[in-house]
Amino acid sequence: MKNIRFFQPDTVVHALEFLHEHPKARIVAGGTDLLPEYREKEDNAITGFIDIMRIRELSGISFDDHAAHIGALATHAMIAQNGTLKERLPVLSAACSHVGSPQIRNLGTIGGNIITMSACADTLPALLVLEARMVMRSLHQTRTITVEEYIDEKRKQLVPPGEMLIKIVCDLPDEVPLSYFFKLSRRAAAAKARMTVARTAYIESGQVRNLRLSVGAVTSLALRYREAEKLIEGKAVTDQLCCQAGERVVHDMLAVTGRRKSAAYKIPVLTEMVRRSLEGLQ
Amino acid sequence: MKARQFTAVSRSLPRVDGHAKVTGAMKFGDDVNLYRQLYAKTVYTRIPKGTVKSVNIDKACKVAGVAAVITQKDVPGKPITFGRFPVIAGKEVRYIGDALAVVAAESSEIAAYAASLVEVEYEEVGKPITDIEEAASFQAAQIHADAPGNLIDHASHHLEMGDADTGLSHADMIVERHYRTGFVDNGYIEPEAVIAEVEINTQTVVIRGTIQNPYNIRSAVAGVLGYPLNRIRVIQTAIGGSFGGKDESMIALSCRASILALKTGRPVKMVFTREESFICSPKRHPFHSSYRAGLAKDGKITAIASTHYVQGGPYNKQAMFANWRASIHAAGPYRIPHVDTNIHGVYTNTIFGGAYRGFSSPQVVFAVESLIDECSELSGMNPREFRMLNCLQPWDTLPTGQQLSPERMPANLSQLIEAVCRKTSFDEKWEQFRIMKDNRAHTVKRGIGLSATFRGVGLGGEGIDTGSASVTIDSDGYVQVTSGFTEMGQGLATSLSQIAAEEFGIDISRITWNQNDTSANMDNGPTVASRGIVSGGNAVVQAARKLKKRMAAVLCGRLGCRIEDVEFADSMVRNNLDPEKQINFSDAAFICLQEHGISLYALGWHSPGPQPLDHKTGRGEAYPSYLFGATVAEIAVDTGTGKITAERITSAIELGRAVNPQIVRGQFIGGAIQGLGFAVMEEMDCSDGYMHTLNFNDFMIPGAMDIPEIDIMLFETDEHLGPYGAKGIGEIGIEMIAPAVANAYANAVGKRIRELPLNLERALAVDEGGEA
Ligand SMILES: Cc1cc2nc3c(=O)[nH]c(=O)nc-3n(C[C@H](O)[C@H](O)[C@H](O)COP(=O)(O)OP(=O)(O)OC[C@H]3O[C@@H](n4cnc5c(N)ncnc54)[C@H](O)[C@@H]3O)c2cc1C
Repeated sequence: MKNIRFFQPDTVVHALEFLHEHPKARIVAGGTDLLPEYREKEDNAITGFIDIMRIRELSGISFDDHAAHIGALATHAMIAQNGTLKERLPVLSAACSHVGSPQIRNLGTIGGNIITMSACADTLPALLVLEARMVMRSLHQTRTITVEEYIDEKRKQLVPPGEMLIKIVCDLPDEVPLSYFFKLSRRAAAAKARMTVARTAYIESGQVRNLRLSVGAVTSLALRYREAEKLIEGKAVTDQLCCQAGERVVHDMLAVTGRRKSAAYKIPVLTEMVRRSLEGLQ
Repeated sequence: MKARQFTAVSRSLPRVDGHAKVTGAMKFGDDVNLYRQLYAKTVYTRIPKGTVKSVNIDKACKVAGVAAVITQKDVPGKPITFGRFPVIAGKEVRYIGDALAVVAAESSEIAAYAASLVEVEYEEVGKPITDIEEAASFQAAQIHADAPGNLIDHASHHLEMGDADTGLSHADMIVERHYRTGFVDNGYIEPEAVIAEVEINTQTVVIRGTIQNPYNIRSAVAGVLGYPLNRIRVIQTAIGGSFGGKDESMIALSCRASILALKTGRPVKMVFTREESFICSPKRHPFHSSYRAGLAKDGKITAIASTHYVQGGPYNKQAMFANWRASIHAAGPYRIPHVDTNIHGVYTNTIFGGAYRGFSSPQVVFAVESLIDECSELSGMNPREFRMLNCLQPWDTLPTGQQLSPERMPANLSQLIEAVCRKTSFDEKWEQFRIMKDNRAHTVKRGIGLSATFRGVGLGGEGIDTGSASVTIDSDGYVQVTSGFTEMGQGLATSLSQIAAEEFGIDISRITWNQNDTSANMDNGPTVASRGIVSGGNAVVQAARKLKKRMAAVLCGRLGCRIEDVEFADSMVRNNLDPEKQINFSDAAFICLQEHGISLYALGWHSPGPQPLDHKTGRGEAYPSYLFGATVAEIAVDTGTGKITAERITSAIELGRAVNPQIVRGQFIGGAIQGLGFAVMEEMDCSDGYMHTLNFNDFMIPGAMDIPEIDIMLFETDEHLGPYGAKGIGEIGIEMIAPAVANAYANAVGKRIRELPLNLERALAVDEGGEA
């Protein structure tokens, strides 16, 4: 049996120093992803845990004129219940309200959800359409990177070691876009997503502007579907366009995953879910 | 119906264990700890099928804090616990839950660590046999050398009435269909836990744990230790759900912990992880059922012939019993002149089938009620009309030759079918949804489905439905009740306390229910088959009446009346003819005990004797009585995603008497929710012999948000069988839901799914013409 170090720092700097000294230690926020993972993997190399729940700098949700600043430790419950976020970033608020069960939402953080980056993480499609940015800090530098870029780094296994997520920054446009979020799962609550669709858009004189569309749980990491967005951008939405966009998304999804056994289900359902996400824009 | 005034039964009194449960004070299996206890962990095989060349425990033994490591060599008695199940496997492993060694240590972490150091050398011998077709095929390798065709011993049953071939040849149409169901876990929240110790003074092994059937555990442990029964004592702790499941797994744990307790001289505790519980506990048996129904032009069924293969897993304990029950119910609650039912169980190298609420009825009722719906469709009738035309009526004969005399069938099934259909406007909706299904403007379709059932009460021909109870009145007039049946959440403690209170005419607060202990009560068989209320309740009534008679004999002189005029009511013992003459119950007890020295302890033993049934021919009375029920499910089907949402369940059941109506409803609703899980989401994957469904993340059961409105109509009758007419309600709730949902699905989209669950993929694939 091995000895595991447990560290509870009060500041980001202390946490980063410890992480630097113990590269195989892992940050724990709510622990709702990490602890099941730790228990399942017999041969894990974790040598220590850094409990960041006491770090004040990481908690809280604040606003300035143009953006929402969501601390890495903001729980799904805090985000879902925040009145301003509900009003200004409804797609994120909806995503967080669909995570797990009340217990999981009270404990699980948005930071943990992003960093774990599981295929069916509910906040990722929402953060993608919001073009949210992540503030990442390591012992010697701080950088800001979009969630989409981070997903790309993750896919290419280029995420630098020793980094900590400090906060998420989401722009608050003057006008709140029309927003859509839908999670399909096998049970009504406390279930991982079979498919998630997030969409934001504006309508100006009958035409769709600034459409953003993202789907989770069908590829190993959530994706934006820009070709489908382009198909509709600047046009008046019709039934036919909605279906075409659905087909385009499926096409692009298959380009990433290849045709697997599950495609028999995914293809028709994804087409339909994308169609539904757009039909409200008519 | 005879009007009868009750004071304690027929009332929704609060549960006697309710306060302790809702406040969290209740002690469950894992809450029991003993001085100097050890913790034990099992070493499991890593392959589902193969030969074991060696088991090396040296490294494990050397770990500091390890007290003992045992292998099959250390089993003092016979190494088989039940069926063919080894307490610890020897040369051969046959499924992924087989044990090869067990480690006891100072902490569960040390035990787990040492267990990981046990080295086993295997040789794989052929691929595991994992499904029914494969197991039953001619080329299949034999899982047990002495079980040709992989057929489970005593699990094949044949039941015949009339001549099915003749019946089919008289039909205008023959409907041939196949239905399938898979493994489903009992899904209890509390994993198995046990603690065994050796009581030094008597050299008795005492076992406490989350045990559904203490006497089963006692026999198994006695066999494995080579002890007589009276030196094994099993005391049940509170149970966090069982549903039939905490039996085989508890036998394995209890036997292993007992061997280690004897070996080390210290108490040994074993608690399953969720993963162990999913691998090592019994599941609902998978069924492959093939039906042929003969249908006449007028909509009458002329014959039903069916063959069922049932997956038992590697060792089997229950298939012979579950299959027998299935064979009686396989043709459904219909009057059918010609019936032929064949059922077999097969061994496989997978997780195993065992007891789970319903005990074969969820599977056969799904199959036969889907079939009946398909027949109604083909007859051009609505499902209600078709069932009304064909359903059993009083004086009809069941396939065993048993006649349904009216006292055995007080509520017509047709009455129940009419009641649920009227309540739900079934005919109108069924017709409306049938038309709507072709309307392409709606992607979400609605459907309504009907199912009906009958259910043999108790064990019937499976075994003798005995029940025991001991009742003691103490000198202060307070009463202790102990039963050979167990409380496992179903509410028996409360219901039996109510029955005792009713008999003595005292308030339920005067009754204390004692948890079952095998050294305090006679072995009355397991707490299964919804039989606790009938057999357990009758035993309590009997014991109470013995005591009342003794008391009346002593007190009638003082009361100035004959023995038969002594009445027990309102916490008084009184002269029925002159109610002014009365003694309060406490004084009465004191007088009897202290002044007359008569015993205020009585044992009630209920035994109906063996069922009048010839097991060779299958002729006779399978069950002493039957419950009847009808259910309507209303659902929404999202044809774009395959998502089925249950909107409303409406049931009518004939149950004799509801001793505690709220508990009865709770039992029904709990069963219905499990039935809904079976219908739309519960599935387990052991398709390559390894277990892939290991926790509640993989194994989805309905949550609060999935549960529709459930409306239950209770039809009470004065039956002769159980106390005050009660017949037992534990299981009937579960069996009607899956067929009602599947039939509603067919109503909504016009296609059939004949395999459970109706998960997203199946419900969608059908739309593409995949399964219809
Ligand atoms: C029963 C159950 C149901 C669930 N249901 C859902 C669901 O429906 N939808 C869903 O999306 N998820 C679900 N989850 C997953 C999980 O709850 C969420 O992903 C949650 O947001 C994780 O947050 P956490 O704070 O618990 O993360 P943790 O487990 O503490 O951490 C997760 C990972 O992120 C790293 N990390 C955490 N914070 C930081 C930081 N600030 N900087 C750098 N690294 C960090 C950790 O090192 C770890 O690798 C469920 C989990 C459970 C157990």
